[in-house]
Amino acid sequence: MQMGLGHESFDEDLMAYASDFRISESFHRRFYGRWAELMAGRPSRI
Amino acid sequence: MAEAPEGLVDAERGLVSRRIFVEPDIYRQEMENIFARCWLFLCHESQIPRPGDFITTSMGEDPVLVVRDDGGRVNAFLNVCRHRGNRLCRAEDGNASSFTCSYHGWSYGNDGKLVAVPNLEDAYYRELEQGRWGLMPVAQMDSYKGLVFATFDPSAPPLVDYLGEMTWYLDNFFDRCEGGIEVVGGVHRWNIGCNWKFPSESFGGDNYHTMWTHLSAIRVGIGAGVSPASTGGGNVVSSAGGHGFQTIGPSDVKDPPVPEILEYEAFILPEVKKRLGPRRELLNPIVGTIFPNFSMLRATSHTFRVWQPRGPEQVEVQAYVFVDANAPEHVKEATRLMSIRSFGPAGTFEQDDMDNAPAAGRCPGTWS
Repeated sequence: MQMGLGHESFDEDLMAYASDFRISESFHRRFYGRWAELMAGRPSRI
Repeated sequence: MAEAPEGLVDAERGLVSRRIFVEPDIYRQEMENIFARCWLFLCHESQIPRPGDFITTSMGEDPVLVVRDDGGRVNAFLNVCRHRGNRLCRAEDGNASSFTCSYHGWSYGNDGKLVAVPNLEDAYYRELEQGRWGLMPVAQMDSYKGLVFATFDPSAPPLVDYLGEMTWYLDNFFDRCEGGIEVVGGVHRWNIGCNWKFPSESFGGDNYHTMWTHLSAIRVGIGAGVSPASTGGGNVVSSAGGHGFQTIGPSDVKDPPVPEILEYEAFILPEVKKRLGPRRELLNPIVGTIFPNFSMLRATSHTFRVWQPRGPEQVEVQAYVFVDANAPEHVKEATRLMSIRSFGPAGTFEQDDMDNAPAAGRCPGTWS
C-alpha cells in the first residue's frame, strides 16, 4: 500500500484527500487507517 | 493515523499485516468494533416503495428485516423472533402485513409489534406482556438521497456527518438527475472466498488493477476501456472516515459502451453538471466505497453492492443494478443488460476480480 506515498494532500476544492496521479494507493491507507482506529476502540469520527 | 491492535496496520508507511484478512479473532473483533458501530447500508427506498414491502439483509452477520409499515414509515429490525431467536422472515423480499415465525407461530405486524401469540390464553394465562416483545429495532436509521443506512450504535454521529463531504460524491451516482435513481431487477447474491475488506478497498481506490486484471475484457470492447479522447486526468479521493472514490477527468467518458447509453449520457450531461455544481468541472467520480462495505460503480456497469462479511475468508455479495428513475425505458433495459454482463456472478469483469481476490487474501500460516 505504498504507491503514491507522499504524493497526496488535502484538496480544499474537492474537500477530500486527493492523490497527485490518477493511480494511487492513497485510499487504501485511509481505509486501513480508519479500520485501525476503530479496531483500537477510538471514538466514532465525524 | 492510528496503530491497529498489535501493530497490524501502519497506514502512514503503507503497511498491512496479512493476518487481518484471515484470522478468526481479528474477524470477531471487527464485528464488535466496526460492524456494530458504523453506519451500514441497508437498501434503496425504491426497493420498498409500497406499504408492506420488505427486504431481508444483514448488518455484519446479524440478519435484518427492512420493511415499510402500513403508515408508510421505513423500519429496520433484527430479523429474529423474540420468543426463541429463530430467523423470522426467510424470504429475500416481498410484501406482507405481518410476519409469522415458523417455529411456534408468534406473529409481528409490519411495524414490528407483536400481534399474535398461539395459546396466549390457555398456556400463557394472558400474562405475557405483548407490548414488551416486539421486534428489536436498530439503534438509528436514516437515509440520504434514498439510500437507507442503519447503525447498532446509539451514540454514532448522524448519518450526514458520518458521510461528510462524501455526500457530493454519492450525488454523482444517485442524484445526478431529477428523480434520483431506482433499482431495476432483483438482487444478485453470491459468495466469494475472500475477506470483506478486499473488494471494499478495491472499489474505493484500486484503479491500479483495472488495466491489468480486466485487460482481456477491455481489449475485446466489453468494458468502457480507455477512450482515445481520454485526458488521463482524475485522481483518487478519500476522507479520514475511510470512504473513497476513484475519479476520471471531468470530460472523460467511461460509461457502458452501448449506443443507447452513450447517447443518453451525452443528453443529460448539461443537467448533471448543473446539479453537481463547480466541483464537477474538476473531476468525475466513477467508482467508490463508503466505509466499511458499501460500494458503487457507474463505469461499464451501473451497480451498487454490499460486501457482507461471512467469516474471515468469506464474503457474501449483494449486488443491485440502478438506473436514473426518469431515464427512458430502453436506456434502463440497456443499462440492466450491460450491467449484468459485466458485473455480477456471470459478469466478465466481476469474474476477473473473483479469481484474484481469494488468491490474494489466502496466505500460509507461517507467513504473515
